[in-house]
Amino acid sequence: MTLLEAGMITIVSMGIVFIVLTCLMVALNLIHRILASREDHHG
Amino acid sequence: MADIIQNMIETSGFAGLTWRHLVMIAIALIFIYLAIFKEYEPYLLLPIAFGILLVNLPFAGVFASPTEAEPGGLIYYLYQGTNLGIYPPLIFLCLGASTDFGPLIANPKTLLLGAAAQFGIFAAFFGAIFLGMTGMEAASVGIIGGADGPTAIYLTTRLAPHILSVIAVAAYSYMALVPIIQPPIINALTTPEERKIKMSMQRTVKKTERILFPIFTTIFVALVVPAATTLIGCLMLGNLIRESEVVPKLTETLQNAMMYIVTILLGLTVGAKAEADIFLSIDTIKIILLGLLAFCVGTASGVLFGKLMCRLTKGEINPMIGAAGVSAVPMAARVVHKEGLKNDPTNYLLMHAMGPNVAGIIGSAIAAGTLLAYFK
Repeated sequence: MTLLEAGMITIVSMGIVFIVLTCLMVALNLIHRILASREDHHG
Repeated sequence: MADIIQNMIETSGFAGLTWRHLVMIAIALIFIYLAIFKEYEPYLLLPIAFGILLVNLPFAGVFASPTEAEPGGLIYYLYQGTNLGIYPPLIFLCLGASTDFGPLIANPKTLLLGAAAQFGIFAAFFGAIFLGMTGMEAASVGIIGGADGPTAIYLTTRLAPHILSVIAVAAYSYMALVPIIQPPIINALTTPEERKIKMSMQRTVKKTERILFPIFTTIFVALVVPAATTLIGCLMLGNLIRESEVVPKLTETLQNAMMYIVTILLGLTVGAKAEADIFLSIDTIKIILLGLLAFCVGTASGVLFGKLMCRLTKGEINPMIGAAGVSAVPMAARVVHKEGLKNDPTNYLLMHAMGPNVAGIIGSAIAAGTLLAYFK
């Protein structure tokens, strides 16, 4: 394996790790907002 | 009579003892010493060391493969649980039942710190390729930076089983050395003002959030990185069992009995894979050094990303908690907490650092999944 290939794998893999964890972050924020608004709605 | 004595001498372990066996036995004894008297990850280092000892006693045959005449050694059969990738996910199952993802759910931003700290994996991967290792070996070396023993063992059994024992010993040794490795890096990359930043109190996390988190994470991660499903699935199943609160006996079993049973089996079999030819080679030194590089770069990238988040959030985040993103639960979070107290005795960072700390488990499992997907 060349260093160039290793670099490409690094970029793609780190990209995937960031994308997945960012999506989880957004989802957690969303779940929190939905639950909070439901609580507000029910008084 | 003389024949009997002659036969006994020839079939005794002494007859087969070589200098390599003696060195490996000495290494096993050093590890036993470190585990018992220095308490370096004793739960794992002790069975690993004893596994090294057993397999390097000549003619004992504990790791012998079955033949038509002989059924094979005990450790040969136990090793199948490691070889087939059964024990590491089971450890993840137990880990999930022991992990409180509350600090992460309360402050989801910390997920990004768990992602940033995975850069150490790829720095070591890159370094290993540079030093002439194959792609599969390099990936196994890199995953040491995930600071997650079961993930490192799982990936290595899949990609480079011949270096399994070195990887496991390096991963667990560095995890034990986190309190020594991390503080100088944290202090070098942060200012005293940054280290004194107090983070606001975390909100209460609702039970619904705690239950939805493992379910959503499993579905999402499995769809994006299918190769990470086994590890993440087991981790999240364990966590769902814990958070559901309807099966307390299962939770207790996973947190205690099962965790310890699987740990013994995993440690013993990983140690038994320490064959002298592999262990006493120049590659071992390379792996040990690259493992250290992975830990240092992972810590540094976590802290640097923490600094970036500190700027973007106008001082809401203490950059030090980024160091906990390397996983090594809960050791890395404790190190951050201790460093916080050193700079301000009223600054309690433990729960804040637990967010990136548990995010690191997920991050390293995803990183392992991407490497597995590429090389398999």
